[in-house]
Amino acid sequence: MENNYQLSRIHNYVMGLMSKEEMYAIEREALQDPFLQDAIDGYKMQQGVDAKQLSILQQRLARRVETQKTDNNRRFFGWQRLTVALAAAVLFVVACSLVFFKFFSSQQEKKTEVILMEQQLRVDSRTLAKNDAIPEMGWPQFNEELNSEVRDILSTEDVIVRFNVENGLATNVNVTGTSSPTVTQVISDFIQHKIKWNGTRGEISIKIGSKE
Amino acid sequence: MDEKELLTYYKQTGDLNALGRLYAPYMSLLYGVCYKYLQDEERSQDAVMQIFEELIVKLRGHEVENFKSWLYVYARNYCLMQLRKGKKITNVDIEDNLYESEQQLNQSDEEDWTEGDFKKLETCLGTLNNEQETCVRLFYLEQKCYRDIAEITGFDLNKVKSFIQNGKRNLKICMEKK
Repeated sequence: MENNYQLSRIHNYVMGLMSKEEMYAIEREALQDPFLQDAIDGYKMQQGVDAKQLSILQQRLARRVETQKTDNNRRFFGWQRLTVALAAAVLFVVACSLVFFKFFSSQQEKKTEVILMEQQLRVDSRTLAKNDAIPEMGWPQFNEELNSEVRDILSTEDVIVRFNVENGLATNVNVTGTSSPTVTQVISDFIQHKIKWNGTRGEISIKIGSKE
Repeated sequence: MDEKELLTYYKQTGDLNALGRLYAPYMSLLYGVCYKYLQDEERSQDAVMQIFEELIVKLRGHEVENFKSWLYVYARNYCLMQLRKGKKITNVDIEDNLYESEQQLNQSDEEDWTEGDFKKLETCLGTLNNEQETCVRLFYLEQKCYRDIAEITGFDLNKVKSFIQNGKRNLKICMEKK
């Protein structure tokens, strides 16, 4: 080791334990190397090399190097990393909630639809005698569609609707049995524009139950 | 790994183990340097450790070409700063320090000499004062150690050293001028 070699040389030089040739060599070296010269000056002032001090220094260095492991751990949870982790966590939560809400709200829309469909059937329609008009979709479907048309009508109604059928469409629609123009309007619109008919003449009784 | 590799490795990884391996061989020299300026065992030991602490940060950012001379300059400045902080006046020989600072600037000057250079050397030796000329001649041409020179000339041992250092410096200035 260069270190110990130099150290024992310095020691021998300072303590006068060297031959003249060796002394000359180290003096010459020191003239080229101010580091060595200063060290020699220092040890001369201290009157020799104290090996114990130097081994204490080596130990202090070794201990200092050892502490890096704990240092590293501390740095692992240092504020920079924690900040980055926190930002990542916030972003993650935001992303998750966006996805979740999107999924959740579309689910809710579907549910609303289902509730509408499951709404209690309030309409009962039947054709009266000697008339042959039948909705193309059939009575159960007719009742269901009409049921959703009259969802805004809260009153109980019992009406009779008379009409002619031309080319599958109802004409001359006449609604009797209600005092409400809204009911008349809704029902005649429905029969005239939303339903295709078979047959030639229709006379149907429509009962609308009370809304619960 | 050699010094250069250890330096680059430390710069990249910050592995204290590498820095420790780099630093350990210089600790005894550093202690001597610190003792020269601080003149106290405890303070010198602490200084050696404190310089290491500073290197931990410094060497991660700095590009260091020659670690040994860089370390020497760094350590010396550190000790001088300590002295200035403590406002303690020390007797550092100004001549010595002048010489050493210059030394760092011109380190690789072992070139081949021509006949003319030797003649120049003779004339330049003549321009030195008597003490410097005698000491330089005895040291460089007759290869006597400081103690022998002190015995031959009757000068003090420390004087011999500074005569040689200063003589060498003057000689160099003279040689470069002509």
